[in-house]
Amino acid sequence: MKPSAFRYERPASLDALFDLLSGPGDKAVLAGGQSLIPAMNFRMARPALVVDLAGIPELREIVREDGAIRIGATVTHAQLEDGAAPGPVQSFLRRVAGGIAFRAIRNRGTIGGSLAHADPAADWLTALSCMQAEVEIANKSGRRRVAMEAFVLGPMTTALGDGEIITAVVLPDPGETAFGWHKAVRKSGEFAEALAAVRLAPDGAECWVGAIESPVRLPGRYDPAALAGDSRLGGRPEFEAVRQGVREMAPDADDYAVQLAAVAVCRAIAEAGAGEGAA
Amino acid sequence: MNENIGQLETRNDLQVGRPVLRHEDERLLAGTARFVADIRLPDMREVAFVRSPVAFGKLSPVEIPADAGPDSVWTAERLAHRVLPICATLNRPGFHVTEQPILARGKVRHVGELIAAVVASSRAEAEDLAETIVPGIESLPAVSDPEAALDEGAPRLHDAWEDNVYLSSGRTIGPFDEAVARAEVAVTRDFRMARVLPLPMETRGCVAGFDRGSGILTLYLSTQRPHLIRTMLAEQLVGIEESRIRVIAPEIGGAFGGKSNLYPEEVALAAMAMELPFPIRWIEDRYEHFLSASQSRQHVQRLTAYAMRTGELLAIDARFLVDGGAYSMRTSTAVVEAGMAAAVLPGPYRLGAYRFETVTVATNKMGVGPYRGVGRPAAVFAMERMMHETAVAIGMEPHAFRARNMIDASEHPYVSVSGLRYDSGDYKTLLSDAVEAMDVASVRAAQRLVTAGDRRLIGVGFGCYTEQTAHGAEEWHRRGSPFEYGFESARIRIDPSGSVLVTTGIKSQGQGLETTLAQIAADALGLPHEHVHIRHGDTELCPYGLGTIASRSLVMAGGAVEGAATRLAGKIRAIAAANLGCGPEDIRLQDGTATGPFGNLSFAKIARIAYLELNALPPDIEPGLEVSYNYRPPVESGTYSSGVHGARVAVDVDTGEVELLDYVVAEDCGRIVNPMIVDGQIIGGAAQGIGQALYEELRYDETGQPRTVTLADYLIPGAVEVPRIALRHRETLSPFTVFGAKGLGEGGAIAPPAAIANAVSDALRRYGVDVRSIPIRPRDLWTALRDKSFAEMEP
Repeated sequence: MKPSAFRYERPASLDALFDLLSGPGDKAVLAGGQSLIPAMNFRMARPALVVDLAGIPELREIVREDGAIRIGATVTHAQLEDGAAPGPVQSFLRRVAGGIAFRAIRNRGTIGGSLAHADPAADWLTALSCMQAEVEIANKSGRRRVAMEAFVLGPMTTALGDGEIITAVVLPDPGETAFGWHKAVRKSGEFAEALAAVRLAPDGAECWVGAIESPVRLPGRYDPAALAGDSRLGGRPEFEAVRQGVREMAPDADDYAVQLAAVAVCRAIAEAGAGEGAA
Repeated sequence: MNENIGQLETRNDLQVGRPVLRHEDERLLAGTARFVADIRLPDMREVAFVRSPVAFGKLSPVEIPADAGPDSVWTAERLAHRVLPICATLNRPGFHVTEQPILARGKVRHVGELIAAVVASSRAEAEDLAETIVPGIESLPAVSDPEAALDEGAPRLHDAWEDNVYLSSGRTIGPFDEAVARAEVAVTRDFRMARVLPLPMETRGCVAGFDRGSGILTLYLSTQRPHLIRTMLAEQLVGIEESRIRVIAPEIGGAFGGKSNLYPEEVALAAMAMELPFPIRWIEDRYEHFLSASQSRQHVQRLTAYAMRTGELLAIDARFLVDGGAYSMRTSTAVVEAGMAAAVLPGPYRLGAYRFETVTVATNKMGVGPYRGVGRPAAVFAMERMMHETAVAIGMEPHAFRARNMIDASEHPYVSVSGLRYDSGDYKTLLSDAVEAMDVASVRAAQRLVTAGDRRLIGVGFGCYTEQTAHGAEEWHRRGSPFEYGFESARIRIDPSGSVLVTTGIKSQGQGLETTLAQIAADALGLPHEHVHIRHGDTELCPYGLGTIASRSLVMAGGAVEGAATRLAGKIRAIAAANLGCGPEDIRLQDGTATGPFGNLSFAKIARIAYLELNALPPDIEPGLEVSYNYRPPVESGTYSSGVHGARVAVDVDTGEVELLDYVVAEDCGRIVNPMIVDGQIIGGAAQGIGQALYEELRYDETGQPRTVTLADYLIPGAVEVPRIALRHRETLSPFTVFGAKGLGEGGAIAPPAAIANAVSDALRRYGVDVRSIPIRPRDLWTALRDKSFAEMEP
C-alpha cells in the first residue's frame, strides 16, 4: 500500500496552480488528502502529478460578502467545527463539521475537497444543499458560481471541468431559518448510512436526504408539529408520507435504507424544531 | 466502578496482589519501545509479495520480468530447494492435512495467497516491481460458504481429499435418548457467528538477516512463540540447524492469537535471507492483514435444549459447522475452533446428557487460527442463547434457570459432561453478583410499562462461562496436538552488583508480564519488584518456552519464576548463613537484605561472594547466583477461571440500532497478582467481544473475494462504543497452581456476544424476535421486526 511514483507541487498562487493544471499528464488536486491519499496508496488513483492547494492563502480564507459567508476551499472541517465561520450559519456548520469522521481526519480534510470528491455519504454534500450554498469554481480564465444541485451530478461526479478547481463555498444569509441535521451511522466516525438535513420554512420543513443517494430534496414539505417526537415503528400517516417521499426520490434504495433515511428526516425535523441546530 | 468483593486479605509484605504500575509503560508511553518495524539493519532491503487476486485457480509458473534484477524476484521454483510446505498435523483419526506451499505452486486457494516475493530498496519500489508480475491463473469455481462446501458437487479444494471436510467428529455422552424422551420442553435454534480476525494494532512483520561468517540466521518477528517458531523454522528450512537460528520477538503491539501460528511469509523471508547478502524486511500493511493474517470463528450451529418445566436442564444436542478456510495453520490447525467449542459448551452447568457433532470444512478463504477465546465465544454464545430461550419457553427468569442448573462450588473438582475437570469456582455467586449489578428487577419493572408505541426497548441478558487455562501436556496430548504446551521456563540471575535479571520462555505482547512476573519473583526473593528486570522474546537470551497462548503465561511462567526464585532464595540463605554464623532457616530475606540473628548482608554482598569473593563461599556451595527452573503443573487438565457478563441494552425499533447501556463482568481468576492489569485484560477483552457482538464481520462474496479489506469496511468498536464496564472480582483459588492463580487473558472476550444477544432478545421479546446471528446487524433486527406485532400481554 504505497503509492506509485508521482511528482508533487505546492504552488503559492492560483495562477501558478492553473499553469500546473494546464500541463500534460494525469493530475490530481490535493485539498486535504483524506480520500485521495488512501486511493493513491491502494494505487486506485495513480496521478503523475499531485498539486497541493495548501500553499495558496486565498483558499484558506473565510470572508463575509454582504449577508453571505464565503468559505475558502481548503478550510478544514476542524476549523468549521471550532466556529471559524461567523454569523448565523456558524452553529449549523459547527454541528455538521463536528460529526465528520474523527478529529484527526477533520484536522486535514477540507470542505472543498469533500465537495470535489462528491461521495454521496459525505456530510457536506447534503448539509450544503440544504443551506442553498453555491460552489465557486475557477479556472485559468475566470470564476463561476454553481448552485449545489447543479454542482453534484451524481455519485463521485461533479460539474468541475478540466483545469478547474473549487475555490470557495458561498452560503447565503439564512436569516431566522432553523436547521436540523441527523446522521445515521453504525458507529461513531464512520461514513453515514443515511443523512438528513432540514430547514424550517414558514409553510413546513424542507428536507434533503443523502448517503443512500447523492443529496436529493424530498418533494413535499412536512409539518414539524405532526412529526414531533419519535417516528414509531409501524407507520403513522405523517411518517409514511416522509417514507414515500424518500422512496420516490431514491428509487434504487432498499427498504432498510429508505427507513433509515425517513427516520433521519424525522429526527432532523425534531432537532430543527427544538432549536438545537437553529441559526 | 471496581468493587473487590470477597478479595483475600493481602498480606502487608507481599507484592503479589498489589496494583503496581506496569514496568513496561514508561517506554511505551514515551515512544521508545522498539517494534519490528523500528528495527533497522545496515543495507536492509524491503520485500513486497505478489498475492493471488483470485480465490481458486490453476497457476502457471511465474514469469520473471526481463528487467528485474537477479536478486529481486523470488518464485516457488527458486525457493524449492530451500523450503518445505507447511503441513499442520493433528493426531486425530480422520483429520485431513493440508499442504500449504510457502509460495504457491500449481494452484492458488484463497485471495491473498503468496505467489512471489519481490525485493527492492524501498517498499514502494518493491510494489512497483510486484505489480508488473501478472500471474497466469486460470480461475476455477470457488466455494466460500461453509454449507455450500459440504454439497456433493462443491468444488474440491484439495485433490487428495474425497470431500472438503478437515475433520468431522461427534459423541453422545450420558443417557441422551432417555433425556429427550423425558423432556417436557425442547427448544431448537439455528445460529450463525461471523468470521472475524484478531486485528492487533501492530500488524505482522519480519526482519531476516543471515550472517555468512557465523552461519546464523536471525529473525526479528512479531510473534507470540519465538522458541516454537524457531523449532518449526528448523523443520521448514533446508540446510540450517535449529542452533543456528535466532528468533527475536521485540515489543509486540498486540497479538490475540493472530501471531501464534507459523506463517508462509516468515518462512519465505528466512529462506530468502539465507540466499541474500543483505537483510530483508517485510512489514505487513493493513490490507495484507485483512487478506492473510489468521481469521477466526465463523460457525453455523444448530442447538436443541431439552428441559423439564421445573427448570431442570436435561440435555443439549449441538452441531457445529466451522469454516476452516483453505489451509490448516501450524500448529493450531483448522479444527481448533470446532473442537474447543464442542468441549466447552456445557460451561458451568450440570448437564446429564450431551450429544455433539463438529464439522470443519475447507473453503477458498484465509485459514482460521486461534483468536482470544478460541471456540469459547461461539460455544458460550450457543449455550447461553439456549439457556435464555429455554428459560423463556419454560416461563422462568433466565438467570433463575441458569442458577437452577449451575454446578455448586462445593462440587469441585467437578468433571463436566464433556470430560473437563473443573478445579474450583463459585459460578452461582458470580451470577448473583452480575444480576445485582444489572438490577434485573428494575429492568423488568420498566418492561412492564412498555407499549406498542414505544420506540426504545430495553433488555437485560447474561453470558456465563468457564475457561480452561494453563492446561498442561496431558490435555494437549488428549487433543492430539503435536506440540504439548506442557511447561514454562525461567532463569534468574543475581549479578555481582546485586541486580536481578529474569529470563523466561514466554513472550509478553501487552499483558504486562514484565510487571506481574517481577512481583512474583520479588516476593519469593525478598526484594522490591522494581529491582527485578524481566527479559523475554529472544531465543538466544532466554530459556526454551512454549510461548504466550491459551491464557497460560501467568500461571505457567509465574510457576517457573516462583520455582526459580524460591530455589535462588535458598542459595542466598545458605551463603548468608555461612557468613552470619547462623542456620539458613534463621535468615529472613527482605528488601534485598538477608538478615540473621547476629547481623545482615545485602544481596549485592552475597552476589559478590558468590562470584568474586569465593574465599567467603563455602566449598560445598556452587559458585554463582543463577537458577533455572522449568515448571510443569502438577495437574495437567488445567485450572478453570469463570465469569458472568451482564449487558443492558436499548434497541431502537425504528432503526434496529442497539445501544449498550451498561455492562458488568463478574469474574474469578483465582489469585489476582496485579488488580490493575487484571482489570485492563478484562476490559480489553470485553471491548473485542463487544466488537464481535455488534460490529465485526469479515465478508466474502460467492466467488471468494474478500469484501472487508480496510478498517472502513470492517468496523471495530472505538472508545464511544465501549461503555463503562463494571467489574466484580471474586478469588476462588486453584488448588493446582502456584498461589492459586488462574489464567485470565481470554475471559473478557468470551461472553459479550452471548450477553448482548440475550439482552437484545430480551428487549424484543414482546415482538417475538430473538437474535440468531452475530454480529447483531441493525438491518437484520429491523427486517425481523417489520413483520411482527407487539404482544400486549407478556407471552
